[in-house]
Amino acid sequence: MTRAVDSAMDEERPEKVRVRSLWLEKLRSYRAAYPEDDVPLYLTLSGAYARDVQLLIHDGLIKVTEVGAIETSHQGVAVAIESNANAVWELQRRIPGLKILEQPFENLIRSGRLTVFPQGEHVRLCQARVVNLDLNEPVKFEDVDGELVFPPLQWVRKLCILHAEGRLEWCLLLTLHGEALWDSGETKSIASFLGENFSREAAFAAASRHVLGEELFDRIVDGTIPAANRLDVAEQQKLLMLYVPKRIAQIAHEYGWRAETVHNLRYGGTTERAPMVTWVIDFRWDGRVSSQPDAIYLDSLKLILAGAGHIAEDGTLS
Amino acid sequence: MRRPANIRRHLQVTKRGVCYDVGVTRPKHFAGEITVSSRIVDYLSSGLYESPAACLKELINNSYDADASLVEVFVKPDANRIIIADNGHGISRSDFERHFTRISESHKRDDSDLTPRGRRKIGKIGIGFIAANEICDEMEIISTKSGSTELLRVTIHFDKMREHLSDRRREGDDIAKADYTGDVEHADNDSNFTRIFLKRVRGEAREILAGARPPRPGAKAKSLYGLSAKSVRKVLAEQSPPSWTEFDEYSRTLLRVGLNVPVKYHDNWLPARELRRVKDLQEEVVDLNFAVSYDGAELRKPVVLLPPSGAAGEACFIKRFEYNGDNVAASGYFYAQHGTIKPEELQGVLIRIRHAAVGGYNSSFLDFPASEGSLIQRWISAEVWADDRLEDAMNIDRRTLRVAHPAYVELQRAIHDELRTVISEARRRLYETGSVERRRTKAAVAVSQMREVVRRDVAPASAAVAAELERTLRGAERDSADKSPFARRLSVAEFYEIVVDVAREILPPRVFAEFITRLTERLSR
Repeated sequence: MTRAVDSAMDEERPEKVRVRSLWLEKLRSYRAAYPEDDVPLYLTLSGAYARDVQLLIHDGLIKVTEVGAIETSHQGVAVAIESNANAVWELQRRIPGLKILEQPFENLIRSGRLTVFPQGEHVRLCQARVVNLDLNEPVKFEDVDGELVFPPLQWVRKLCILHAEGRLEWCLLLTLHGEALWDSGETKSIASFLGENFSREAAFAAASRHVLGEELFDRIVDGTIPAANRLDVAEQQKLLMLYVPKRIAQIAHEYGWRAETVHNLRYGGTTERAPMVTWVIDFRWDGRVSSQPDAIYLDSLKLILAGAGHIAEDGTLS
Repeated sequence: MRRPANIRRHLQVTKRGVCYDVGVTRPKHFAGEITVSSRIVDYLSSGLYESPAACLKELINNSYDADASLVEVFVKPDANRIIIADNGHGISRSDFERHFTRISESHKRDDSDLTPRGRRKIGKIGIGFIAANEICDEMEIISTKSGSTELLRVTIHFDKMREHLSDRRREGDDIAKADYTGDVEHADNDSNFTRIFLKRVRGEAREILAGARPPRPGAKAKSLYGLSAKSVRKVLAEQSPPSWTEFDEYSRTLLRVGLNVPVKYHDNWLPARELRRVKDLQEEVVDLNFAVSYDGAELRKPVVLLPPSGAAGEACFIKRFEYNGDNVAASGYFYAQHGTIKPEELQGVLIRIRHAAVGGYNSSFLDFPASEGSLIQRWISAEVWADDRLEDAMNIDRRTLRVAHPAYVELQRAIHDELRTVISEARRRLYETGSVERRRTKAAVAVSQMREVVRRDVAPASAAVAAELERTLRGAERDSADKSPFARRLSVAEFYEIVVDVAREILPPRVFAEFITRLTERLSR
């Protein structure tokens, strides 16, 4: 009864290995920066096999006993979120002592609505230093009161708010399926959002042109881009590479966070491998929130494509 | 609590009975009530189990009855949710409805007293499942049977327990115990298992199971969490905790569960010679092929019986126990050692029926007179496997026996007779022999210390006194331990008193005075 999502997350293909190594690098740096935290280091949608948590164990960030159970003093370091009972069992038997929250992430964060928030212990868990939303699903918008809303980005908004309470600098590891199956209306709306800063931020425009390619960039600028679902897979991935971190930067700055996109990568997309896009984004507290919020946003934009790249099938990063 | 109309409609069907016409397609979703015979409900309402460990062992014993070879229990980190998963034969929806929608008379042994793999079933009335209501508010069961493509998923809500009795009364004398809702899903592979999730574990039980309660003031409770069986044995053997209360509650639960369920003994749980005498009992448990993993660590019986180190002479012995009476038959062993059994939880006799313990060790040996060999009683640890006739005497809590039951009375007498023999043998072999041996050892030590005094202090002062003292020491070595003046701990002053006495006896007064002067000078240097 293995779920497709677990199989995907359990894969040892070189691209995924590379992505996990980037995660580990981040986790190490946050552990080093905040060794005495009272919030978890890591909150993850790990899947039943928890390759990512295993990596932390292997690296010594989480200590285990002689039978492989997490040591009592390290039981709060990582928290997994898993709502499927059989996956919970699989996860727990692989890593005894691991804290598992048995609910969908959406329930933990109390939906995308901004009127309700986590309570009690869940606040602290959501304030983890590194949050890994390895969603393995495509970006599908929901029309909420005429506005296109992508639920995971609403979750990021709530995470920004929760972390802002204690100004706890944090990192988002976000992985999405790389297909942008948007219709023409959705695509036009997104193109408009992408193009809005090209004229103000020349460096951002230049980087975008470089990543997207001349033709796609121009079609975004002149509004002639076709529906994204008619673009080829690589172009869809590139659209996401631009749209998602830009949207996150926009959300983050409203709450005082400067989103520093460290990695912005695409991989897969061949006949045998699903197209994926993944980001590593640091959220740095920026005191200019009340006086110059726009400056924070523009600073964030500069970094969106700085870490843009592609992971080849053999795992090499370019 | 109002149920949705569709569930209520369906209940009218399910509550009439659990039989369905062949050819009728059963809905994938189902719901109903669990009822408990009023004979049992009083026990359940007032708290059947003395600890959460007792609930866990009921569920583990259920897995044993399901022919599982492995049960995995997951409690940590916080016991908010507990998983008990086994690779037993699994249950179908029909099994569930048949066995668990009404907890009453014997069901589990309706078809056979034996499991398909030939194990004698421990459970009788399916109470193990319902036992979970004492520690949690919700239980989810996911199960599939070998060869079936159906996956059963049932959630039992124990909330009804908190409703007033009058609201729970059903037809006849039954009491509604819980609601359940279930689904039958497709299982895409040919496997068999049962996974039980105890959810919304209640506060007190959660704290105990997780070991979250602070130890007594000033103490730091040890924990066995995350230790391999080998390490647990090492802790039990080498640290000789006087009591399990030295451990946190998580560990105490683990120890209690291990004591009760049919898991293996630790390696070398007895000294080698004694182990040979109970090899058949040990192998019988191995042959059950039943293992429990508790938060990733293999659970073993926490019985490690090793005499205190440094014990003189024969330090322990095993006496096999066999009894075949009119009302009960039993076999087992009595282990006796020189010194108090540690931890104290292993003092007494443990009764097992069908490989499951009835409670813990009974430290009074089923009300053996405290005045008879009271000291030595604490030197003895026994396990007795009784036959099924004693099961009749067992109360529903599975930890106590009805003391007036003929099987109990007869077994009690047999155990008392055996205990008298063991006490007498322990007195002779361990206490008295050990006592002589200990005196002999003490004498040898004292003689050796005296020789050192003679060599170091007396000989330089007087060769004659030294020679005489050596003759005295050789004589002492020939004496029996009983008569030797050295067979006790001597103070330094006493050593020199002996020297002075000998010198006074053999030396003329003037020479004696000179000897004392020289000895004093020497000692003052």
